Amino acid sequence: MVGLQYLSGDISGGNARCIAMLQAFQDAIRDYTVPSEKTLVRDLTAKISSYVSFLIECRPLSISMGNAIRFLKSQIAKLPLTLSESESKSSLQSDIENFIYEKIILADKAIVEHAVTKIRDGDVLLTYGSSSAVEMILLHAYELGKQFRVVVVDSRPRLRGKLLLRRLVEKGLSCTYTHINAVSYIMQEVTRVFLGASSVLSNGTVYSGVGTACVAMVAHSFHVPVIVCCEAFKFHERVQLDSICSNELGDPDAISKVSGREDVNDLDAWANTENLQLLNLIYDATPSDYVSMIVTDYGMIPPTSVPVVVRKYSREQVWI
Amino acid sequence: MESEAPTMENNPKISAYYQTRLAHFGVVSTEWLAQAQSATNPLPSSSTDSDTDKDTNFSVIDEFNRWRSHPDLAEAVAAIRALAAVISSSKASTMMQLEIELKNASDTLKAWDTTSISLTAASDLFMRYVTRTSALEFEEFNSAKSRLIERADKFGEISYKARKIIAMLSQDFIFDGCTILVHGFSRVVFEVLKLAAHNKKRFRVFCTEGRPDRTGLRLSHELAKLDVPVKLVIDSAVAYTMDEVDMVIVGADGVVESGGIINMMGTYQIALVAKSMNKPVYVAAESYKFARHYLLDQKDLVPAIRPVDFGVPIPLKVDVECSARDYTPPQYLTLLFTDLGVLTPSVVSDELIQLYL
Repeated sequence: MVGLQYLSGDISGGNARCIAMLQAFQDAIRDYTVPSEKTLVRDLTAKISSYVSFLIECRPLSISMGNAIRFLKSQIAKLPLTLSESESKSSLQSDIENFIYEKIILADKAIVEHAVTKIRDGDVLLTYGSSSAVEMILLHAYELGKQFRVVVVDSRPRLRGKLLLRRLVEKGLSCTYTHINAVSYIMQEVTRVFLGASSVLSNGTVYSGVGTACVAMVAHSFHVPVIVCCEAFKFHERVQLDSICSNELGDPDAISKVSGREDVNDLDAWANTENLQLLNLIYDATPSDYVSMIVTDYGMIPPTSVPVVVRKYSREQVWI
Repeated sequence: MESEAPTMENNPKISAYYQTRLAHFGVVSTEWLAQAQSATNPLPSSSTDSDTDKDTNFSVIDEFNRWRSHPDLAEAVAAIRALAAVISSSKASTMMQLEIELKNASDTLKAWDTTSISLTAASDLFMRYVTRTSALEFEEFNSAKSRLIERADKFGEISYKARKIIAMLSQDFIFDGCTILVHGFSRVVFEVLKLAAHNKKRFRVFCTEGRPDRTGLRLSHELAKLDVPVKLVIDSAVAYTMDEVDMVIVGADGVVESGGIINMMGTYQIALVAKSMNKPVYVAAESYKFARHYLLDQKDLVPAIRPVDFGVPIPLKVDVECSARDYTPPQYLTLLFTDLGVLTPSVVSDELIQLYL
């Protein structure tokens, strides 16, 4: 069922997808019973793998989800064989619970604490798309009484910035909304840029929704500091140099149609035209030169220190 | 000026750190002296704390001042020695009490001058280094305490010898016939140049005047004593002379997590000019100056106010920029010479992560 939700786009956003997936796994483990001839460890791992392939069919995994699945599989593998079935199941469930709590919820609190110190009165903050971490930072800073205004930059086809905008305006923040075409115009007034990330790779490259790289590059050329907010469990040892390899393709029809404007239909016959292809990429990679600082639950680090955190993080996991 | 107390006033106070530096190295004008005299307060009859606390409080600052009066000793090293003295003279009987005493002493020292980055950084690093031993909880108190004192003394020794190590490491970078530009008077950089002169290298030094302290004058005087050819340039002439310069060497008041440095006003300018003309900028800094701040731009810095003497009275309506230091971002720095080795600016954060996490 969670898979269908992904497919329809009901659940979107890195953290939401990860939490939903882990909670679905929790339910699956709860309802699971070991068949008589098999061992819990191997069978459960196989079952989880089959669920994962189903999820991949619905929508390719994000990097954070991959990390979470690896964690779950290693926890299953570490279960001592002497535990009874119900004990193993409850220990796994509590492990997942802890993972969600420590790595996502507490991490977000730590990120908000650190990032809020970088917002001063009179700032104009720019954000792109919709990131749960950035939203929390902005709301917390507003609650602390800081005077600032927000510029929300959005882009087709998903127009996720609109949801963020609605939530911010409801709380009373003064916002400006603009499309990514105008980002070089609006950047003159901006003092800080806050971006979320789907993942941060080992060479400091930030992997995030398509359009982020543009915003970061424009900010860099205007000498505006770019602050990326990302929980540590989303870091990955992979190194990527461009945006094309291992990206995800979205629905091409989303680009050809504009919702609410039926008259814009020049591209309706695109499938029939031989030399036309529509490319709807979901992610892009921002090189580390354009990022000034990454805020994680470990604190504020420069993009060059990501491998150190990845190393420490995987060492922590070994002891757990 | 030696008996500075932690001032509690709200008006922009003169940075005590720079007062000391001036006392040791600078050319002082009489007006400034008068201003400074009026700014010092008598030692407060500090606290409502209990007697033992009051004793410790008093002795930390005392101890600190005693070490600090030696002009060759870095302020942060004096703080480290003072904290080590707190441990050995402590009357605590449990680990918890000792740690609380240390924390109080460290906070007192930090409050003495809230704008000094190296002081805060050194105190924090000292606390981390000394209390990081995991076996401490299980051992009997006296042996644990002596172990702490050992570590504290070792840290003090390392910090004290740091300058010699840095001087040794930087010798490879000074080649015969080179021209070095230095800014202000950094004792670390002076040590580097002294050792190079001692090793009979032939080089010449361009020394900026370093207004408003004019500490460059003192440095040029010292270098002339060592028979090193020195040329004094005013701060505005840096770009003009940058063609003939082979490298820039500066010290640092603090090294921040991004890899950038906080140093005397003017360093950022020099680094910008050097970068645009492709000259390397080397920073000589001890490792206890690594601080856990992350600065994004100049305004993120807490300003350290320093009075500027223009030689003529300034009308009241005219505002004066009196910040004493600026922030140089890491992209303008080539290498850092530290007692941990010759590092690139990105390694600073790695070191801090390993120590603090």
